[in-house]
Amino acid sequence: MYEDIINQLWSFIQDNLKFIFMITIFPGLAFIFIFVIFAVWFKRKYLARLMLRMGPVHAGKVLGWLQLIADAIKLIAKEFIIPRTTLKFLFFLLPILLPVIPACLVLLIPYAEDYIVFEAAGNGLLLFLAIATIYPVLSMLTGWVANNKFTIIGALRTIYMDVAAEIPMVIAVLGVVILTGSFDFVKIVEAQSKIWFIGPQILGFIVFIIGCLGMTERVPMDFPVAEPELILGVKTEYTGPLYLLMMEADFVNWLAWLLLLVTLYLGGYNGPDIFMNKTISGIFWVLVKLLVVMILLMTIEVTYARLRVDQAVRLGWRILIPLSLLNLVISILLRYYMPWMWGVG
Amino acid sequence: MSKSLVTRVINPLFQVLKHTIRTPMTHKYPFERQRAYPRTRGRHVLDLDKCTGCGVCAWICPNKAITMVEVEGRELTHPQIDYGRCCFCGFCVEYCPRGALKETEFVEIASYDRKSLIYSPLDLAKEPDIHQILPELKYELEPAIDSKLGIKYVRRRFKK
Amino acid sequence: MSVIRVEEIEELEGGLMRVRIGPQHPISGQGTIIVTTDGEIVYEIDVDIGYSHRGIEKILENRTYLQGIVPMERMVMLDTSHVDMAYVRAIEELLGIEAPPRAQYIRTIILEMNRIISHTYALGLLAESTGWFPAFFLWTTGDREPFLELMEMLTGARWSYSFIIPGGVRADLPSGFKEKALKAIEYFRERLDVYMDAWMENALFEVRTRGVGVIPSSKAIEWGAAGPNLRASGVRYDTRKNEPYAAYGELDFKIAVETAGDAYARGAVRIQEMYISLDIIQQALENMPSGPIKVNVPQRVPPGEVYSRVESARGELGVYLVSDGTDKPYRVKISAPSFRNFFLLEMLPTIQEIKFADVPVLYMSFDPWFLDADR
Repeated sequence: MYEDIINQLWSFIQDNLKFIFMITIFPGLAFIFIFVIFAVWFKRKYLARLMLRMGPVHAGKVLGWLQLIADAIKLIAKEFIIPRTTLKFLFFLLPILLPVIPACLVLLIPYAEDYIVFEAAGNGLLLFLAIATIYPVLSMLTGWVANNKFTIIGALRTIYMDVAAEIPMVIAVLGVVILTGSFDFVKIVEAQSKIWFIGPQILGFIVFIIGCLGMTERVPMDFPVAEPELILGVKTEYTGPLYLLMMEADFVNWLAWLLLLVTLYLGGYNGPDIFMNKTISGIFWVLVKLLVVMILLMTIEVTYARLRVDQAVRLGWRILIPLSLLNLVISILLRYYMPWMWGVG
Repeated sequence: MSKSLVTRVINPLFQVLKHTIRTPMTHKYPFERQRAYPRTRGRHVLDLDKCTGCGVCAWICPNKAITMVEVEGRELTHPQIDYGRCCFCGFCVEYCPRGALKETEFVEIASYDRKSLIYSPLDLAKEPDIHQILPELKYELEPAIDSKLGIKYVRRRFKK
Repeated sequence: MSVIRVEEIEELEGGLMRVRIGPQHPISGQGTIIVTTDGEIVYEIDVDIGYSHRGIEKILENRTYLQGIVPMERMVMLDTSHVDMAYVRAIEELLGIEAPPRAQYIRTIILEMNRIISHTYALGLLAESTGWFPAFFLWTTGDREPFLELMEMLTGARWSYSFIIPGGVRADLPSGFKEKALKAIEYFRERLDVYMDAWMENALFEVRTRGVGVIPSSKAIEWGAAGPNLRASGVRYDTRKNEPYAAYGELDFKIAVETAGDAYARGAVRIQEMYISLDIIQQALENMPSGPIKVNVPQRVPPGEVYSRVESARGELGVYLVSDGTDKPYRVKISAPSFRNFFLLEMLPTIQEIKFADVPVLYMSFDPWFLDADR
């Protein structure tokens, strides 16, 4: 009986070797972990240079990458401090749930023509946006469940930000959909083989970047964690290993939205074929574009102050929505008059 | 608003990016340490032969950190400084009539309990040695004020 | 300022809550600000001082006049020599002597460098309170370094100089000081231009601070604003011009005044004051007279009372000295500018609607320091 099961398992593995590789190594678990470590290290070193200091230097001999491992071990070794007036089940469940949702989003993006984990029957973009809206709601719940004045104010602001940032962003993304004619990620990337969408969709790009900064909770729209006013916003009451999980969720969410930015506006895996193998070249170009966008967004994070919440809502509704509607009109006209440009008949 | 909205949003980005090429202002202490100036007020050094035991330093000290005590083998009383109270103002150095008390640049006086912060006259007579407290010290930074960088540090190895 | 006891912090009606921005908070400093709010609109602000009271006025009654300089300096961490100057000015007035001209010029240089050191720190904190990830704070903290090193070259310490004593200053300028100071001034001028570009003309910073906490000039005078806060509302008042002391009467400088009265104007006044301070230091270095730096001063001060004023970085600081003929003062009363500036924060919700997110911005734009208010 056991041989039967083992034989079945072995044949399953042999049939779906590629799928298992994609789920566990790239772009699955191993890639996400390594990316989170790399992103935290890069952020600490790069922002330190912008602030005229060095980041971690001592642990790890010049580059300081072991400092992150040391910090992670320190956080795990701390004790769990749970306030008495919370719902303990939710308090424990939410930091475990938070990193999982953006991790699913990473699996929807195409890294090369034949390298996509989950096809979603040609509706990848729609599924991405649908799953991504759960994240701010969970973020707000972490603030509500901690039952502290500062976290509740942070939770209220998360809802404001969600309303302000997400609606114009979805309308801007619709511009891309109209130019391509479908919600499928692979078709969107193929439609950018002549020119990347950042050109004709420049207004949509600006709206999308602002919305992206809002959804990933970065300055200038980082309301859930508004450090000078609320001590750490929604994350105030989480210490130790739970804080480590929430930090990881933050960076995985960032990875997911950066990948969406690269796929929709910067051409995805399009690029010259330098490795003589389309798959590896595609993956390489996606990673290079990811790095460039990461540097750009980190610099934006350092340069600007944070908006007040009502100013953000005013920005979202009075400026961004008209801009994105204008973008929609422009894309309709472009698609009507120049359909040959976007790879459609 | 003298500048347009677009300039005010884009220009700060360039100003911030210019900072990536400047050298950072970090000292990798305890591997390198900055050399201080001649007037820096740190730990005192007592010259036992010049001290006459007059007690002016104890009288002028604002925090009453100096007391005159007897030392074995010598007939005069000499000052004993409690570094838990000393505020490093330098009045005792300035008002000593014989110039027996001097201040050095040495500031690493931290210890684990309060008793060891009271330095007897024999302790004060020893010159401080930085290599004993910081065995990993290898470099010395010499500061110089520069009109482009603010302060420029010249790094030198210590000569043993 | 009312005292809110612990039993009063309970459920309020209408969904209001009392949030304590207390001593353990990233932006509050060493005291408590109790804010009554419903989440976004602030109805009442109450400042609770007393956390860092050290009893400096009583300590000074047990120290001689020379020894009293040391605890007096440690009243405020940042503009230490201004407090010294007020005390020394009071003593010299009672004694009836005047310090020699070279000492007055050296005192002016120290006071103005101290003003620069204090204003950069305050501006860094203002930028950090608007939510700016601490890039600007670290730039300003790093750019104070040339001035701190110059002070260490001159006096021997980085912030607690103990250099201005009754009768003059303690030591003369070291050799090479003038060239190094001119280099530092040149460097700092360039950096101030970078700050204006990257920060004062930054669209998001302006959106955050313009129109926030507007104080009209009549209210500023009525509520007792001090220092840059007063000058940002349009009132031309500066003790350095009204009652000149320590070589300010012989130097030529302007006062920085803005009329808007909001948080942006208060930041702008501070940057303008830094430009003016650089001018003053340059003038003082070039016109430095020669001569002695100290005169001998008797231990005992004749009996009398005097009130002396000084323009510190935070506002006008006054020392009221009562002497009874011995070598220790009978009573010293210090009138601190931050104590008056806190009152402005409390009165603001009555004339304008402010939001909870504005509280740190306003608090930092007044540049109050709890150590100053508590003495």
